[in-house]
Formats: sequence, C-alpha cells, structure tokens
Amino acid sequence: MQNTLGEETRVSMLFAAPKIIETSVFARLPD
Amino acid sequence: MAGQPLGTPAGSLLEGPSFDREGTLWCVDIQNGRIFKVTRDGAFRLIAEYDGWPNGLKFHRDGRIFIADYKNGIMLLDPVNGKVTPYLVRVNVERFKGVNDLFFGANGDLYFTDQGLTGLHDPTGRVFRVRPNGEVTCLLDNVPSPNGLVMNRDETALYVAATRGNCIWQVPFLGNGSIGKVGLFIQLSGAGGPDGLALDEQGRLAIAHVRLGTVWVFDRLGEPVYRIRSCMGTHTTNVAFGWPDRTTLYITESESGTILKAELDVPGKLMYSHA
Repeated sequence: MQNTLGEETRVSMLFAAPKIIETSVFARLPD
Repeated sequence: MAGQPLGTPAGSLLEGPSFDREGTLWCVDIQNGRIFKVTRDGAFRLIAEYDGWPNGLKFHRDGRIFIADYKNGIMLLDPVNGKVTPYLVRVNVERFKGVNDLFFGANGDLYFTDQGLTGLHDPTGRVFRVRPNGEVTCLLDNVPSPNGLVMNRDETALYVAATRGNCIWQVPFLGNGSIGKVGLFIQLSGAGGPDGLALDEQGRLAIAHVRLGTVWVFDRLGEPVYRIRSCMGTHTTNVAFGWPDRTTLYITESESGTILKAELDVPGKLMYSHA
C-alpha cells in the first residue's frame, strides 16, 4: 500500500482491525 | 475542579454509570457533587447533591449504594433522603489520595482504586480490597493512576485501568486471596488513557478510553474486537451494560454532558447487585 507521501510501504498488523460500532445519544444533562 | 489537571471540562463531569435492580440507570457528576437517576426516556432526576466529588457508583446486593468519592473516600448513599455518609475514609490513620472507582466481586468483596494525582512520574496509585467482614487489604501500591476495575469472567483476576500508563493491568489471585504475578494485559496508545471498565458474559472487556472518544472491546485473550466511536465529545469516561437486556452499552461522555448508547451482540456479565 502507499503512505501519505505516495511511497510504497509494507504494513504489518499485530491484530486485525476492530469492527467500528457507532453510538447514539441516550440522555443529555440539562445546563 | 480545584487541584485537578488542566483540561477537565467545565460545567459537569459525568461518570459512574450503574444500573439498579429495577433497571434504572444512575450516574454521578463529579465536580458538582451530584448523583442522578436517568429515566428510560433520558430525563435526569437529581437524587443527591453534597460536599464531595463522587467519581464511581456501584450497588450492593443488599440495596446499599456505594460511592467512590475522590474528595472523601468510600461513601454510602441513602436513596430515600439523598444523604451521603462515610463508609471507609481512611486505612488505619491514613486518608486516601483520591479514590476513583469501585467493583464488587461475586462473594461481596469490594475492590476500589485510590488514584489521586499519580502517574508515570509518581506510580504510587493503590488498589484496595474490603472483605465482607471489614478486613481491608492494599493489593497494589505502584500503579500509575489506577482508575476503572473489573474482575475477569471466572474472577481469578482483576483488570485495572492504569490511565497514565495507557494500559490495562491484570492482577491474578492465588488460592489464598493474595495476588500473583501482575502483568500488562492490554497496551493502548494515543490521547488520554483507559478509564471505566465493564465485562460481558464472554469475558470480553469494554474499556472507556477517555480523551479518545472511544470504547474498545477486547476479547478474553486481549485481542481487539470492536471500536465504539463517540458521536459526541472525546471524554468517554465510563461504561455499563443495561436495559433492556444488557446488550446495550451505556457510555458517559463528559465533554458534552451526555450518556451515549451502543448496541452489542453479547450481554454484559451480571453484576454482584443483580446476580
């Protein structure tokens, strides 16, 4: 893959990337 | 808050989410000494406001409400009249540095962290255990900012968030209740560090990473499973599994003064108060 400078890099990953989970607002403390 | 590090949000500081036996969420506001119930439609109801810095809250099986109060020590809250009274404010003659969070084991042992302003520059934070008979033991006195804590699934070890080490320690117990070789279970990186912890039925560990706007979920071997992203601010301070079936994770986010929720696939482990 390429880094942000466009250079070819080799990446090794210690672990698989975790799955992203989104949140929603349950409650908001009034001011 | 006087004496606290810079960067603490103004206005309020939500922490200590915990569910009572009726399934109602409670939480604390550290810097204003307030304790709230939060209804299922998201309304805050003030239960107590007192001269203290409530940082963590847990329910005992017998109905008592225990507060880890940074300013005073371990306190008890009467939910009827809102009075907060001391439970343990010193060990022998020594007061605490500043207690942070607490957890009950299945046998009623109470564990709590004494964080104060410890860090890598002063790794003297402590972890205590209080037996049901009142016996108090200092298990550790060398933690860089001990914070949230929870036991593993079969309660053979304690996980402790060492915020300023940006890591989770694993504290194994021997048969006689003393501790074995303490190890580093998970090393995190980036801004802030681990704050509140919770465990699910599979032994997976949810870690609120304050200042990163993230709750991590690691499996029981310590491999990452989920990254739960805050839809609000970055001060994701603590977590609790709760209503309706414990597959919903509730997250205090103190920068925006909100409680977030995320849907997971495994229920949280039953707490001592509910088992």
